[in-house]
Amino acid sequence: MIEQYEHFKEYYLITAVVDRSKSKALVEAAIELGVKPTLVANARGLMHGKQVGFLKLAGISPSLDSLYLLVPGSHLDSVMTTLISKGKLDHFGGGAIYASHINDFWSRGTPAFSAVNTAAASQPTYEFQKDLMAITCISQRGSAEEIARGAMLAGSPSPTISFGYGHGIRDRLNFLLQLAINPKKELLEVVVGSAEADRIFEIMVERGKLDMPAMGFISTRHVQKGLINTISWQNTTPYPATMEQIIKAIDQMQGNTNWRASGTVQTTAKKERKMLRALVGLNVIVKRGLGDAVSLAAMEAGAGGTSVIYANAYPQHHHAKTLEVSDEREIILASLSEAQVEPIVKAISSLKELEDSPVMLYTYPIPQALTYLK
Amino acid sequence: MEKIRLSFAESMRILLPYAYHNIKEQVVIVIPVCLYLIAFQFIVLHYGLERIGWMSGGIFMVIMGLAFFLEGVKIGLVPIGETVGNTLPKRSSGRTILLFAFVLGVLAAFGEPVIGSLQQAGSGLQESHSPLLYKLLKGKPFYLILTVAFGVGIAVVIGTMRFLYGWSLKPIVLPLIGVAIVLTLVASQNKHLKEAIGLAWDTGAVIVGPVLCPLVLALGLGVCRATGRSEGGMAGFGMVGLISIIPITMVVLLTFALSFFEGGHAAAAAEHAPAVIAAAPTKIQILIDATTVGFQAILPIFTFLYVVMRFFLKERGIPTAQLVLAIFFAIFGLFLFNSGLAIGLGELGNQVGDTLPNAFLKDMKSPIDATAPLYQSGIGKVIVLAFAVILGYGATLAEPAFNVLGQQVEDVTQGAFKKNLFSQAVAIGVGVGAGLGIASLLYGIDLLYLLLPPYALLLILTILNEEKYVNIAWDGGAVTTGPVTVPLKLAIGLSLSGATGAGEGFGVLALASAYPVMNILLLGLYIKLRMPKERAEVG
Repeated sequence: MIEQYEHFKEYYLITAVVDRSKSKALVEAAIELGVKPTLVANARGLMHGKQVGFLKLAGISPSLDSLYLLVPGSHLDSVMTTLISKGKLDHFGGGAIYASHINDFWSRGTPAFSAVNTAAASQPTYEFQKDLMAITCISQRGSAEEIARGAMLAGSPSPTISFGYGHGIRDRLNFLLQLAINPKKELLEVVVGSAEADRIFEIMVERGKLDMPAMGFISTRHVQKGLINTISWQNTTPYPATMEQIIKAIDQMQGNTNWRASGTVQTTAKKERKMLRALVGLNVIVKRGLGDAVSLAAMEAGAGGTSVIYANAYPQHHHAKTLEVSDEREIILASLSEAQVEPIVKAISSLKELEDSPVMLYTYPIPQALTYLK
Repeated sequence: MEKIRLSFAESMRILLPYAYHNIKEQVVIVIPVCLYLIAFQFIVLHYGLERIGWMSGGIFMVIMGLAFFLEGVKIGLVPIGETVGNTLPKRSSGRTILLFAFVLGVLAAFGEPVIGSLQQAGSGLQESHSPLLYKLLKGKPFYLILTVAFGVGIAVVIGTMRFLYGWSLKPIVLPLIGVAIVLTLVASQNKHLKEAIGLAWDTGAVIVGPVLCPLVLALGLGVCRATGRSEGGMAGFGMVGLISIIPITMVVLLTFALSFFEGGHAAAAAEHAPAVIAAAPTKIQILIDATTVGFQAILPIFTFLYVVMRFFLKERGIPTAQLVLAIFFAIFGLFLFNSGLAIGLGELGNQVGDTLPNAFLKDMKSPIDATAPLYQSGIGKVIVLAFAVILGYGATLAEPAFNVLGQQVEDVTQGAFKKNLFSQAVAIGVGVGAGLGIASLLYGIDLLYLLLPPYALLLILTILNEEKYVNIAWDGGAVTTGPVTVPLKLAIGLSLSGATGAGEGFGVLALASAYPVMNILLLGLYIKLRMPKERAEVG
């Protein structure tokens, strides 16, 4: 579809969410496997917990890193397995890793996956959860916490929340009005079994009033396989088993996670909502600072708006004459209708600003989404 | 892309709610402090207030000033600071960056009205009584200003080197505080030197103000982004703490030097120095002073940063219109804020401070001798103490630098460490510190006993804690004492020390810096205990 870009099919987006202390080791492992660049964005988790005295420890959430890796299907298992064993992601509270199939992947100026011979002989095998659904929600800064708590009370594991920024009508106003409109957003992602997805989706919509104007956008994405072991409970009393272990044991006995909806949180009378169906998600990864141009080009070509989060790309290269080491990127997210994809991808890929710098674009299906519609 | 043109009315529908929101944020912080002071004056001290009209106007000016100033910082100083910090490591060598850091630190230090605060604290100073302090603050204040500015410059250099090379804060803070403690102990053995100790520690407390704090935070964040160094995701923290700590040591050294070289003269001249008590400034004088302070604090820094950004780094940064607006907001905001403080909040503090000793003391030079003491001496003192604790807590929440830091902590941790938790931990610490400071005046406790043990404890807590909490803890301690708390605390401290005849009232500010650091460090240890550890899967 676009020139000068390498085009790939059958790729997967692997997302790994781990405690920040572990991310360095995982990044190194990923680079060794040939995933260059590996992208890391800062995030926070969320925990159930008791209030201790007047000091509400809820004010502190675990500091996490989200790792994003684009990997061909043929190497999906070996990469995931290596990361799990390196990061001990199979431990309770060890983190989460999950993979989504993506439609198209275009890349320029940055080598896509370069396969490295992995000694697959001694690889342990893990039992992946299959048929999962990632629910992603973009909301006003400050309201993700409420939405996340709603999802957790309904039985979801701890969501991952990062700070982001929105682009939209604001960018077309004069600078004074731009200053007065807050572009700060929060991005929240949680992975649940697809049987539960509708219920948790509905609770998140209600909690965040996402069907009201200017409150946000919520969408789903298929996750083919994953291992979700996020921390979601504070240390309370020194029981021999953590809450995560107990929950997992019951999951195994029941054979599913439906029991978790134990009546604590039920949605009120189910509303008939006008869902957006069959959308396509487009993510663009460029050097930090170039994202504004990408967002404007996308909007000019028809996108309603975009969201941006910042990430660091690894491996980092030290430049000979300067002290700069980091390689900061922007991840620009847009949700489009099928017909919009081609013109927008073309508009972005022909941007002058992006010449001579690494660019990655990929698309994935969004089965269901919701926002305020007039 | 085509711009959307909005009519005036439509624009106002966006701008007015925004302005309302910003002003409301300040109202909910400032008004409770004022109401608290007023209620205390009427209900506990049974006494009225004078010049209420002026005072209300002044308080309104403080609120508007805070709103304007913080907006100016947000749209101007912060983006420029971050752009420069982020671009410098990409374009220039380490030596150039450090030179830049030094100049920036010195310029920013000259902009902070530190010496003014300290001189206000020592307004009752008499040369015959404390010659060294008199010389430092009134005789040759230039020495003090230069020392402090040099100290800040050094601190910004060291802070920047930390971000460039990824050094930990611990091995820098520990020796600095250790040396300051040892020097203080040595100085305490000498009658002349001893009087300057409180001043040295106070300097550290007041130096980080509403301009310096957001500036170095933005700069640090920019540098950390470029170098990819952010210990535990806490990019840009720790420099504010250093700016507070290094001047302490420097000022202690200055007092040593001054007394060594000129000790004899001071003692000789001491006999015939008349005590000059400055007349209260007129309203016009207050407005002129506030304007000067505003320009002094804002213009040099903005100009320097802008020149470096445009002509040296060749970065566009923010639109020119936005820059002009930011400078105007910052200067106008500081002007409103400072004059409002003098006319309103400071005046309120003074009046309450003047009547405060009536709670427990007889024979006061106060307007209502007849009814004093209002309470039994013991109970009265406890009431005053409780008053100081709550005031210390409430006034801290209104400090602009402190609010900027709290927001930055939340932003950089992606919301994992909420601004509210940070604010409460620090403000409670300030309350405790302020209470202890007042206790030292009320009960005549030597300041050294209150100042040194907590700092010694801080050394241990610093060693035990994780790097990220160490950074924000020392930063938090540094920003607590600013333009809102200083006049209020001084009004009360001076009035009480006048009433009880204890000391000069120096050191009270420094105490308010020690306990917030302790609170954050304790919180850090507590979190470490409560955070769950992952467990291996059994079987």
